Amino acid sequence: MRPYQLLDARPAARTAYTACIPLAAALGLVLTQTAPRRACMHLPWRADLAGGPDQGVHRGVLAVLLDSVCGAAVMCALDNAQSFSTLSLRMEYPLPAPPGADLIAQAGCLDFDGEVAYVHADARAGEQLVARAAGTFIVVHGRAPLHALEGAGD
Amino acid sequence: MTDPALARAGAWLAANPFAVLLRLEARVDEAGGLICVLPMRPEVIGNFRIGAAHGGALVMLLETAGELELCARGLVCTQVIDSSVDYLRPATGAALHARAVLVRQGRRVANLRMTAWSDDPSRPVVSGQANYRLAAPGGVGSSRT
Repeated sequence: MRPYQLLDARPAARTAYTACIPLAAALGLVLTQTAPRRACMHLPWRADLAGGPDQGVHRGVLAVLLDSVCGAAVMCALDNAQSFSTLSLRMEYPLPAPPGADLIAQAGCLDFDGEVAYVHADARAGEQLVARAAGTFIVVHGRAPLHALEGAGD
Repeated sequence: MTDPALARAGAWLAANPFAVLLRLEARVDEAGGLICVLPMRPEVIGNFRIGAAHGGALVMLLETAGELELCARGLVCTQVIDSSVDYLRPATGAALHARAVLVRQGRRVANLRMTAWSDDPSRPVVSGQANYRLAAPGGVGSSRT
C-alpha cells in the first residue's frame, strides 16, 4: 500500500505518524484523514497554546499545525515512505483564532516532481479561516523516514 | 541594548503562553544586540532522527525575534500579517539563536528580516522576513499574536 492508503486504512498508523513528530505530539495534533496528495489534521483547543489572556491559539501554533499537515500531504503524495524536509514556508494570518476553538487544517500537495513538493494548506475554526500556508518540501536521500509506513506483510 | 529594553522583551515573552511553553528567551549578545533563543528541548523537535527543530517552531522563533526587536524599540505590534521562512541547514544543536533586523518602519507596518543559527552565526539554519502591523502612534492597539 502507498502511504496515504495505509494511513487512511489504519487509525493506529495515523496516531503513530504524529507520535513520531515530538512537537506535533506535544501540542495534541491529530491526523484525521488522508487521501492521494491530501491530509487533514485537527488541533483540539488548549489554554496553554493561547497567544495571551482571552486569545485563541498563538499564530506560532498555527505554523506548527500547518507545517505538520503540509508534511502529511507530502507523505500522501509519495509511493513509498521517504524522508523529506521543509524547504520554505510562507504563512499568512488574516484573522485571529477564536479563544476556545478547535482547529481543522487541510493540506493539498499541488505538484511533486519526485524531488520537490509544492503544498498549500489552511487552518480553520469552524467556517472561519484563520491562517494559510504555502510550503515547499524536498526529498532527503540517504536518510530514513520518520515512520516506515510499510504495509506489505503487516 | 538598554536594560529596560531587555526587560520589556522579557516581560513580553513571559505574557505569551506559547512562548513560555517553548521556553523562548531574550538575551543580549556581545555587541549589545537582542537575540531570541530557543532551547532545543525534546518537545520542540520535528525530525527525531537528526534532532532537528520542527519547521513550525522555527517560524515561531523568527517571528518572535522580530516582535522582540519591535518591542525593544518601544513599538507595539498588533498582528503579524505574513512571514516567509527559508530552511537552509538542519536546525540541530543545543539551542537556536535568532536576530532580527529592521528593514523598514512605516506608519502602519514594519518589515523585518531574521536569521537563526545554532553554533555559528555565519552558517544560518533558517532565514526569514515578516510584515508586522503596528499600533497607531499615541494609542494602544489591542494586541493579538
